[in-house]
Amino acid sequence: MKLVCLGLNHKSAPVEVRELFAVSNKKLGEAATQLCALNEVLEAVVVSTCNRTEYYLATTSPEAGIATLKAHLQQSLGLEESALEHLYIFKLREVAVHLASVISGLDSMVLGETEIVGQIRTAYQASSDAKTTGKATNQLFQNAFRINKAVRTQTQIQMGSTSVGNVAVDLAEKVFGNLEKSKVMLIGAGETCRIVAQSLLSRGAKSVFVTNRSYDKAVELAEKLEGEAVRFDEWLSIIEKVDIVISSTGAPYAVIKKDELATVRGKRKYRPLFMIDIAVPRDIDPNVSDFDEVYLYDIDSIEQLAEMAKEKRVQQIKDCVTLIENELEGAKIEGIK
Amino acid sequence: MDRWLTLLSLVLVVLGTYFGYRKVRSGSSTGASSFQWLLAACISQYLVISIRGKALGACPLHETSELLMFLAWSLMLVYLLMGSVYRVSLMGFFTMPFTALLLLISLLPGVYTPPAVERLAEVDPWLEAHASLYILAYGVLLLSSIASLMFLFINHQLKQKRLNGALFTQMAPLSTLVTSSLRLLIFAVILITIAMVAGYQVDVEQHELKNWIGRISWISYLGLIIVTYTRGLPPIKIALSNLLIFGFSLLAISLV
Repeated sequence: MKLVCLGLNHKSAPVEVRELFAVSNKKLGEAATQLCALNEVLEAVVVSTCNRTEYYLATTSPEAGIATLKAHLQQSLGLEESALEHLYIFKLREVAVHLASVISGLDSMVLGETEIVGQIRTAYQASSDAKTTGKATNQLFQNAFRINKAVRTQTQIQMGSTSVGNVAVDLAEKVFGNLEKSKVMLIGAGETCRIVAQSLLSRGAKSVFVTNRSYDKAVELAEKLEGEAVRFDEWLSIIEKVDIVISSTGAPYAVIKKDELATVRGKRKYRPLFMIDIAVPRDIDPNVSDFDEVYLYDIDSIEQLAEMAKEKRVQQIKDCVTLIENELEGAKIEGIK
Repeated sequence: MDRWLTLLSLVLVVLGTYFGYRKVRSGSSTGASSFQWLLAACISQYLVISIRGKALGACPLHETSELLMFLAWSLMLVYLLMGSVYRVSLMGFFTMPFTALLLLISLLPGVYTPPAVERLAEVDPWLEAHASLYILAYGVLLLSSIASLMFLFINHQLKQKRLNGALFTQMAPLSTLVTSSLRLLIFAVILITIAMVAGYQVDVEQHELKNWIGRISWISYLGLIIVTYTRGLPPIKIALSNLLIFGFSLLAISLV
């Protein structure tokens, strides 16, 4: 029994090709069953995410298995020959190294991202439920999960946030800890505001107030976020209640001025106030950070933090690759020799 | 024997600090290991206090070295007994160097004195309660000050947008540190209040200046707590006031 992997990802294929191969989560087991029905294929796991589709097979012969799979894909998906040129192929030990790299986020669009672990777990479970896994693929995937744990704990590839939304959430958590009691106010109803607010909500923030010059837009976004719309001339009174302010209006001048904020400091009992200014030109007077309890971050400082985290992750790649090689050294996986 | 055991406690907290530092550098959690090192040092230091207490026939708080040994023990004890709301991330790691400093000073030539040769003829229970509760309260206050120092560090990093470094990443959130520091402060004020009540029952002549420093510190701490919970104060002012009052209250110990 020999392991092979065929696949394509965001590096090897454009989205119009990737979507031809995409398999929904519900059909992963069915797709794996179809592969197992092919000659030469003994076990199969199909992984499909927005950035990749991969077929992990245990075959009697790698070459024969690859040829059979290609022919099957071409026929079942109605592909042109050129689409198959985007496929990459790994055989034997390379398969284990590749899967460990994928699950550790080394092959992801956002280096070190952790969402892929859940996606691979889902794919493996679907194949397992469809009874298309066996000794080789079970050992292959169990080892990959084990190696991912080692990579996560022994390197810093998954440390730090690499998106504006996540950096904002991390900072908010550094100020407030658990966000469950934190109230958020959005000034402006744009897309970036929504993304950051959703990141905060996903990490526990409960109440969201949305204010915007156009009240209708504030209502629209508040409904999406299950929050409360507030008229634009009332934002100052809301600041008394909230802990986090995200501002992104198109105003050519500062919307939140230092002297206005000074009037509500006492009413807020000087509780910490975390402010994120995503707008250009800036919405929040930078001098508000003179107030002891105010922590103000503009878009540049947040993007800089995201970039630093990305750079740090890139520096970790070498360590991760070495760790994966070392972990696979003693691993017992059928079909990699 | 007590000297060797104090030295053992010192070695334990120094080793704990060293291994904690290595863990912080590697990005691992220090919580469990700090707890274990401090637990071992606390047990060792408890033996020291027992030995000196038996020799004296009273609470061993009659010499400067005894005060420092007792304070180091109460700091460790308070840390170990506190729940998770008070015992926040890296607090154990920061507690160990302070404990080490107290133990080191207590062992210095000129500071260290051997255990009493004779037991005290008469022991005033009110005085014993007053002194031991006061030192225990100092342990709580020191822990609260450590939380305030940690707050100042994290506040500075957040204000200056220096958000890298293993220490920053692992340290507890800013609000948690403020909460922890304040709750410890309330606990300390309760202990000091009881200690003061006990002190008023003592039938010996007392150091007036020391008493005034104690009273002023108590009023200041009480004022800080009341102002924080009623009018509100920026967290940095709470932390700085806490440290300032603690520094002032230490004068009382130096006069014991």
